[in-house]
Amino acid sequence: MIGPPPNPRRGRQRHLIRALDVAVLLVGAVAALALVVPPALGEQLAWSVVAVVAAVPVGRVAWLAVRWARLGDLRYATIAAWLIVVVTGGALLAG
Amino acid sequence: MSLPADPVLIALSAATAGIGALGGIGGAILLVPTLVLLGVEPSTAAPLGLLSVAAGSLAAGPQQLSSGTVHHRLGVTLEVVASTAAIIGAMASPHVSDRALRLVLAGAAAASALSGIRVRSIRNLPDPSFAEELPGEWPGTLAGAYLLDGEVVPYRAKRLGSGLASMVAAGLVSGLAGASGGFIKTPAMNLIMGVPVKVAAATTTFTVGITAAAGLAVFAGQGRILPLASAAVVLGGLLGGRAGTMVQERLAPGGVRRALSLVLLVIAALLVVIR
Repeated sequence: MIGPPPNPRRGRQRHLIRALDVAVLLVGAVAALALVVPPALGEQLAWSVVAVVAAVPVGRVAWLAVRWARLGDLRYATIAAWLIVVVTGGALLAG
Repeated sequence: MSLPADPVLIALSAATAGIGALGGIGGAILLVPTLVLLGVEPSTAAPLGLLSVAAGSLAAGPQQLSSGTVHHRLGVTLEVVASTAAIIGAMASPHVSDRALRLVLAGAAAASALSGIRVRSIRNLPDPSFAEELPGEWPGTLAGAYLLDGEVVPYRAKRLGSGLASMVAAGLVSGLAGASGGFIKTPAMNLIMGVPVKVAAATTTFTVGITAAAGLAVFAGQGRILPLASAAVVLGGLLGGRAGTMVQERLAPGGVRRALSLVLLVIAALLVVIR
């Protein structure tokens, strides 16, 4: 075999890769902005940074759950959905 | 002592994320003990550690997805247990004394140091009968294949029960101390479950972001997240993590990891000794 064969999964995940790239840039820019604007506005921006940083991995799991359900991989779609229930349940319990 | 000023926090977070990325252990295991040694209460430092973990996981995501080494099904399966343990740990942490949290942190730093010093990994071998197989995870299973020097290496995760038990420890450390628990997850996937170390490390980076999110949700409910300090840590984590990953490719990982292990052992000792 000469070099790696093309990976079709890469193509199907390109939207997720692009979304994560945008999230990295967005989070970095807003975090920097939060530290230079007046504190009241800065705190609001900082909370949005925390929210996005925590929400992105959960959103990624949701994306996987939907994708696996569409592929008919119901076992792992259910596990992914259950993971989202666990994380959001923890947040609700603590709140 | 109150938290360091924002520029100091950015620098600390960037430095620890960068050094942590060089050694492949993430920044939180360095950041949280450093903050505690600077006089910050462990209960205040823990949420900042989880934010550093989440930022590192976010920053690494695009590159690891492109390389196709993350086994999402394995990660999600293990994460159900790890996140549950992280939530329990985070809920319990206000009732744990600062001295006990320091000891948990010291134990985590020491364990991370030892896993770095004694790097041993299961080697999965290429199998010519899978030469036509595309790399990636196989739908409906905890198996897959990855490319090693142009050859296809198939693998299948074994001993799921033992792997899940290890995730309880990883999740509890995350929730209690704010460290990532990756120093437990990657060796557990590799040594116990037989997953190739490259896949185990990439999958761990994906899962620690979810564990951090679970812990952060609880910390937010407890009112323990300081927003401006959080922004500083996230910004530093993103910058340092990216820089460390770029430099890492040009360095021999073994030497860096061993040097980092010595630093972690010193930090662990200081956490125990200094009151």
